[in-house]
Amino acid sequence: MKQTVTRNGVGAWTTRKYDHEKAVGTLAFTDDLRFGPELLHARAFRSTKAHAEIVSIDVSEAMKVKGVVKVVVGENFVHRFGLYLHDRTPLAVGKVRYVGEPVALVVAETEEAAEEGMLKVTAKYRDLPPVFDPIKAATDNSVLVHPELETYEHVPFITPFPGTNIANWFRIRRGDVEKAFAESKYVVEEAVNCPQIAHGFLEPHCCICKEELSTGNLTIWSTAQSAFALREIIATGLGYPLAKIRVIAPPIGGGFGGKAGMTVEALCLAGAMDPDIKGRPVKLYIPREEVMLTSWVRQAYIAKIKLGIDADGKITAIKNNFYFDTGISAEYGANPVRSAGYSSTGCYYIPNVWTDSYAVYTNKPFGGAYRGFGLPELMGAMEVVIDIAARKIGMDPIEFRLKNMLRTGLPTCTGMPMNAHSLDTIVEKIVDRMKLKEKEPAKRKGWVRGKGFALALKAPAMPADASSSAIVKILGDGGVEVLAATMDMGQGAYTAYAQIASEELGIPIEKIRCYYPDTQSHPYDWQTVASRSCWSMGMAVKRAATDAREKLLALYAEFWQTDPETITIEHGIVKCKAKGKAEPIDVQVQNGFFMPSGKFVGGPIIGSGTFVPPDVVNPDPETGQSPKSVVHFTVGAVGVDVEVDPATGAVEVNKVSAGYDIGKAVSPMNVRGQIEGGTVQGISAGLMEAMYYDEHGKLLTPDFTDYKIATSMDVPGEVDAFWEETPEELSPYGNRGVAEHSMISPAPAINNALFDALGIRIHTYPTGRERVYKAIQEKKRGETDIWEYPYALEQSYKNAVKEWK
Amino acid sequence: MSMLAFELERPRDLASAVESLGRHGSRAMLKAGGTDVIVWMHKHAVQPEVLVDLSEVPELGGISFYPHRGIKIGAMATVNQVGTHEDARVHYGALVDACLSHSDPLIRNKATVVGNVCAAVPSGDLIPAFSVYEAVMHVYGPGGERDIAFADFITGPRKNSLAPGEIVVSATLPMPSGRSAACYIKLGRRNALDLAQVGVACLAMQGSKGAEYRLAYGAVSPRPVRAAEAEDILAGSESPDEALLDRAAKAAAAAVNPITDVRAGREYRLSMVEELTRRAVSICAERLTGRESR
Ligand SMILES: Cc1cc2nc3c(=O)[nH]c(=O)nc-3n(C[C@H](O)[C@H](O)[C@H](O)COP(=O)(O)OP(=O)(O)OC[C@H]3O[C@@H](n4cnc5c(N)ncnc54)[C@H](O)[C@@H]3O)c2cc1C
Repeated sequence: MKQTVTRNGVGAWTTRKYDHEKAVGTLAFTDDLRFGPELLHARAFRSTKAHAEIVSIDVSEAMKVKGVVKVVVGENFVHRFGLYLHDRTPLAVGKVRYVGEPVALVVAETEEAAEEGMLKVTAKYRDLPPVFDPIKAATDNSVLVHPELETYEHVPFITPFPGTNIANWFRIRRGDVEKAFAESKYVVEEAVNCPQIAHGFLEPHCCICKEELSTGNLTIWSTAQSAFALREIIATGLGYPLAKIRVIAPPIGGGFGGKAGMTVEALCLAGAMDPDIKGRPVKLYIPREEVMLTSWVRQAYIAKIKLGIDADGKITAIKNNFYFDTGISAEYGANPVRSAGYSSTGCYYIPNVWTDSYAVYTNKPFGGAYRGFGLPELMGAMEVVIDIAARKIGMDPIEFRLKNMLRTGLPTCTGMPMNAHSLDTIVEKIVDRMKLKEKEPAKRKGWVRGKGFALALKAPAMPADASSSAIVKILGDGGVEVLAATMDMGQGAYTAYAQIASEELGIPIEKIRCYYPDTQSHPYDWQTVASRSCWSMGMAVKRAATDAREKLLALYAEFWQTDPETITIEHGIVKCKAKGKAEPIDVQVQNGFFMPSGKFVGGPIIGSGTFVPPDVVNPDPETGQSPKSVVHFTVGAVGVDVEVDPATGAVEVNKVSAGYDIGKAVSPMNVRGQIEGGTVQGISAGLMEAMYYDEHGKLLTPDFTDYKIATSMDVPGEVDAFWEETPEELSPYGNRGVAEHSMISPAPAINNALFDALGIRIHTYPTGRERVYKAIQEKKRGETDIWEYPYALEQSYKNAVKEWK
Repeated sequence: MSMLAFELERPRDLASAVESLGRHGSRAMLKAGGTDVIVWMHKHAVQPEVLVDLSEVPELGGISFYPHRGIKIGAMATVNQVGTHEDARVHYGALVDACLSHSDPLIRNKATVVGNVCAAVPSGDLIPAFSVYEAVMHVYGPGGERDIAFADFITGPRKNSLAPGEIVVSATLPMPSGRSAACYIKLGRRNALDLAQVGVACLAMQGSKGAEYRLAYGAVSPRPVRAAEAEDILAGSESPDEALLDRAAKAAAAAVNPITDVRAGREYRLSMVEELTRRAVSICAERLTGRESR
């Protein structure tokens, strides 16, 4: 029998934790913390070369600037860091590998002095040939970005290839693709590419580090998604014990993966741990123009997909070649490559699979975690190729998808059986809501209209043994504190945990608080990434709350001389009908109960809970096969309705509908927020986002003047967000991940809608106005496809007409 | 990037502002709304040691309209003030369109119209409107007052013809003669908060010899550019047909000289000059022959 009653438990629509402080503006972010006059400020001096040996660095003029304390260079702090592969030094050592790489760190008494000092540092370089094109980098080893690759440590499930630019090569080998192609009626082979894109979080990176002089203990305040992973990466990189490092993660202003792992902290530590500086806190604030140069962005990709299809329209084989452009580091970027690889049949059941998914080093800012983690890349290509294939074989693209759908129990490309889901219901609903099978006239004069559709799928991408733990404390007035080291960066994790605690404890949500992570007080959690938190940490919080409840019930049972089963907690009131008792939780749960036995029993009630996925097996490195490669897949679909102005290439999204099978909406308000937000982010990425470089590898879109993100004027006023609830077996409440998924398929759905509207296929993202206009012109010339290679675009700057100068 | 230390001076009248500029010479720069100069300081593209803030100079505020002389825009009039000004809305369609296409409502509350023009960035949204209305810049400086015709005002990207120590006090956009209609069409990468890839201002006026057109372009040449040949092609035609529009559009494309940069390619810009010319002229012609003058 359920022993708790609450109004704001699991599944309730509630207001969100911390929204009030955010709206009022009093929530303190990292940059708002104050450290008094002790605080020093750090500023990075950056490389102007894409690939060069450092001949010399002259800091003498910088040291003359009033207030400059020290200029640290790479040789002063040679430590390699990385989550999966230790290929990153915070400052360039010996060589620079991209334009914008930190070469020296100026530490000064004031921000202005640090800035002025930075402007006075100079460096001499000896040019090396750079490589920007990932296909070239992968297939021709004349330029090696990391000749020392073989000396880098890495986790066992990453396979770098020393002597090449391949930082990770993930493979699936299943069945016999060549035989299947030979026997199939149709073979369709298509390629899609997409440049790097950036997270565009509102709050730039900021970090304060301090080394305590007498003990060497480090304290790090940082805009970090994952306090514990950050601590571990720093500890490993420095050879430090975990207990000597404390990470405090204040609220962050958006992350989207861009603040996962370790980002700017080691660079700040290069200052704070310097012998001339240690003891004083050092602050490193990354200005907006340098965010994309300092930490990772989403990898660019070129995907080639070949499908074999039989006379019935069944896909019999797939061969995938994915080149992920990971820039100069794959420390984190090695894993989206793997994630795309082990999901590389998408939402389809395909018996014969051959996948090569590569992380390729180039001389560019580096790629890493970004909402969707390999899947927007995979689906951005696959859902377009599926659409092309369906049309080629004369089948309706939605029927083609339904026919080949990865239904419950069928094996994925790793051989693991697919979990339960209702993707077909979602497809049906979207077809209906968007009238996908009807052609409708354009609403705007002279424009053309089209509709598109795409499926989405994603599993939490994490090591097999990513664990979580939580503590739930019941306070002396019936309040509750939850210590769960998830970062609530807007996704609403703390609201969900409060709902879980409320559900399990029968205590109203208003009395429940959840605090931002501090490794000193919170128990361990791997990371706030992978759409895993409400599932994995949700498990730990549920267990901790259950533990606390059981402790509390046992105490009341002894106190009232009854069985714990006869007691309920209803809206914070502990009741026993049989004994006629109803008392609010009070100070006894803190100080102990004076029991009929004449003794105090109890003391503060602390519940604890831990969780680790019990049965995930990392895929075999040769074949990618595993009985359970991931914990579960969340599936969904997106339908869009667009209009194009053929005279300018302008695209307007009339309507979008997005549905996912999330198992259970623990916190519906937040689920809705995640679907809406991710859909908008996906539309933005598909329509306009791109990082562009000149021919020397200099980023041309470092800030929001030219890195364009959709505004509210560029997206439909409403996102039709919905979900299905087919429960997950191993899960706190049947719920699965949902946070990243909504970002995955808006872009391919738009691509398919543009084809529907224009009759020409655009193989390159983003589908901005100029590109769409070009496609329309190509169509007039009789072309059926347009492909613009981003690396050729870089070349075009060479030939650009720059007569104005 | 963050700002280096600088001094801020906030003169209380025009004479002190000019005096300030004179005293500091090339070490000083003016700030009106600051939405351009502060950003550039932040990026170290300019590094004034002294910033002379005009926001407390009473002579620089205000917008006045006299049916005979036109509209006079004070140097501190914000983009939103001009964009929502009643007389501007009735008589200066291209000016108002340009204001409302500029950035977003927040920035428009700070940014000034005159600052936009003084900054002389080729994509400046107000520049084509100033061109078609043949604005006159009223300048005050060490040598006293003088007027500069807008055609002579901008000399290149981020360059204007102000002498050292001179301040633009206001600008007058003369009243278009007779019935008129005007518009500004801006093409950007998204629907708000973008710099123009191409901007087209068109003014059509009902004269004694029939309709007369003025066409000016933004973001497609280093200096403001009027499409004189296109204007001639259209002259006299109240409802230009497709063929005439096409000829005018081609002539406009021949008048501009865009670059390829990260915002757009030269080819696309040229195509869009043609397209937007056709649209702007059609809109103005329709409005001119209709009831309302705008
Ligand atoms: C977020 C954002 C969005 C923007 N969007 C747009 C846009 O959509 N379209 C667009 O065209 N621009 C845009 N801009 C650029 C800029 O803000 C505008 O050009 C703005 O109108 C400049 O006005 P201001 O008053 O802020 O100029 P300021 O920055 O104060 O001054 C600009 C320049 O003019 C000089 N100056 C100013 N006043 C005078 C004067 N009276 N006499 C002599 N010189 C003077 C200054 O010294 C400076 O060099 C944007 C800027 C930002 C930050």
